[in-house]
Amino acid sequence: MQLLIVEDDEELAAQLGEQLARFGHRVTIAGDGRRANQALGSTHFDAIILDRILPMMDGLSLLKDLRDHHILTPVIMMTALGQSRQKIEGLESGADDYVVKPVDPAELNARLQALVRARGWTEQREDETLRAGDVVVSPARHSAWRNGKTLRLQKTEFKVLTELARNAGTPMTRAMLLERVWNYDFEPATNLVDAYIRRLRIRLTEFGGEDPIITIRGLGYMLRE
Amino acid sequence: MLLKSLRALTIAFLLLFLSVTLATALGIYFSGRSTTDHLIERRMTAVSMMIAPAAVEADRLEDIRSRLIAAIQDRDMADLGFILLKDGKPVVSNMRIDRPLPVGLSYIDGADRIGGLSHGRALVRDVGQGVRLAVIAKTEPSDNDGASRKHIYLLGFGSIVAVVLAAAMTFTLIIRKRMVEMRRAMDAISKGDLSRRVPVNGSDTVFNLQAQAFNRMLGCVTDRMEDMRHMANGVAHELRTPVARLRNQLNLIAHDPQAAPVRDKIGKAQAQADALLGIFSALLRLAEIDGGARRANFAPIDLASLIEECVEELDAVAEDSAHRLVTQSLEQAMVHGDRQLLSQMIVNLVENALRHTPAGTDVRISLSREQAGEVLLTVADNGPGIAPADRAKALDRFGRLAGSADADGHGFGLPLVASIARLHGGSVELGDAQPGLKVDVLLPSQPVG
Repeated sequence: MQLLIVEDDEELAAQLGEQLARFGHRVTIAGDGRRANQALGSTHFDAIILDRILPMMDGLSLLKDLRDHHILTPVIMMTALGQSRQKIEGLESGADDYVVKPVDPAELNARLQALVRARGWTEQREDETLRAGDVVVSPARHSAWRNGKTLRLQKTEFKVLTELARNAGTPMTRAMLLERVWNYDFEPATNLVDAYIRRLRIRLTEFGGEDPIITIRGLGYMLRE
Repeated sequence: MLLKSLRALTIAFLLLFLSVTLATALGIYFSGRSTTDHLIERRMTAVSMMIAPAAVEADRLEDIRSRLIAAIQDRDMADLGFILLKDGKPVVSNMRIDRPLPVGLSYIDGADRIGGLSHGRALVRDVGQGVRLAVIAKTEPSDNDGASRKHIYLLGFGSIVAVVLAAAMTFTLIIRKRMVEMRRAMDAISKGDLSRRVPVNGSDTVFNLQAQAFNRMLGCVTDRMEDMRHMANGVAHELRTPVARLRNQLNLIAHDPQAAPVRDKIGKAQAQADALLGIFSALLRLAEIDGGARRANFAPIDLASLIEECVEELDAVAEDSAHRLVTQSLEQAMVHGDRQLLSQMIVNLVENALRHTPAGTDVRISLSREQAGEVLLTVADNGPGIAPADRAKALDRFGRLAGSADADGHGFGLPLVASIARLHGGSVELGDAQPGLKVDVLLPSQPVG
């Protein structure tokens, strides 16, 4: 992916750039809004990682400016303020996702992948059936099948499977699942996500077959495509 | 009576005032009567002695008779009655009385049926030679004088008592009103609404000045608290960035092939940096809750449904750790609150029980409506519990219990619960579930429906 990091803390930006480069991304760093605009004028980016607080022009204003000029590049806001109000403000200003500093590069990478993938869904309807290998999920019918056999899933198990199927082939971090399935803006102290994945695995392999969920150590889970 | 309450003080004052007023009224009434009686007795004695001096003379009856007639004709003595008897028979008199009067002083009343005389005194003297002189005088200037005097006293002293009573009540009500206003402000502040103040007006009355001084003090206290919160917030923010850099640096080093021999140690250092970042996140979350800004998102929440939902979600975790989650009676209750924070509170309470009790422990969750518009959420387990002396420490954000903070926990679970409860105007109490720990969360509720 071609990425633009807009961050005034040079050291942090350089570290993040180096870490994202390890995931195979090409990274450009801009220290402020003006440089970000210059970079955007000359290069096509797949996604922008935008710090909320910047000298001269803050992240929110830059984002509004981009959206006003119909630049729809996916934006992940990055901020040191972990408060939910700022999170809502960021999303309302047109950000696609939001990460709180300190940013875990693996988490950021997972979010970037999910974000870019989600951009391909513009044609996808809400009632469309999701397919991942031999797993089929119909959110509209609230049903899931594996190899044509109906899976008996409890409400939350179904939500987890839907989220994994929607992002099949892309790792979903625990934080992403907590936000999307449980809608929690806090991190539980117990392994809630892992407990549900364990249950889901039992349901998915009830009628035999290989476990379709891959554990990505220290990050999260991914459903095979 | 203990004079500790405003009401007791007012009642005591009024009782004292009533007794003193009554004593004064009775004193004036009776001393007035006795003075009148005394003056009348003196006058009767003087007139009697003038008509019939003590010395005995031969022609006594005739002399007495002529002096008596002169007295009867004297306008100054027209209010007096006289009866002169010789051997029990009337010789001269200006009034009639049907009974024999005793010698000496005696009382006359309405029963003697003397026209124009309802209360009086009679002085009867034996002046020798079978001659007896009775002088009779009114003790009342007019008919029913006693009754009208009582009436006047009742009216006069009654109005004084009424005025004082009204003044005392008004005074009490004014003081009470100001006290209630102040108490309400203090209650609201203790429940976390630091912006609350005692109402003031522009006057320079002592109450108003008191309220202004109180508000100034509150202003100073909240400013200091705000400063402290900003400082804690600032410290957490400021320290997060260098710690994040440190962690990123460790990540980069860990990926370096040269770091292979020390990768385990780097992993431990990364875990420690993560634990530190977890503490900062919890502190920032606490600062966010304590700041009160989340009140803006408050909406009516069906607490029973939310508990059911959260407990259902945690059931998978409980199953994994071989705990049993038991939802006991959940009474319908609406609270005005933040859904996310209330979820976090319920999750933290259950997680606290799951993480600090051994496998096989039961965790019971219940919700009941209490008196005075409050609901009680209780999460109790039959695990080892917390010693009474350590319970306050468990709620203190920096008072983690020895051995309780496990590797992945920062020990802020219960302090977060306490902060969330406080933001919602509630409170948290740790108790003994006999055996085990019982956490009671009391929250103000809204009417259901």
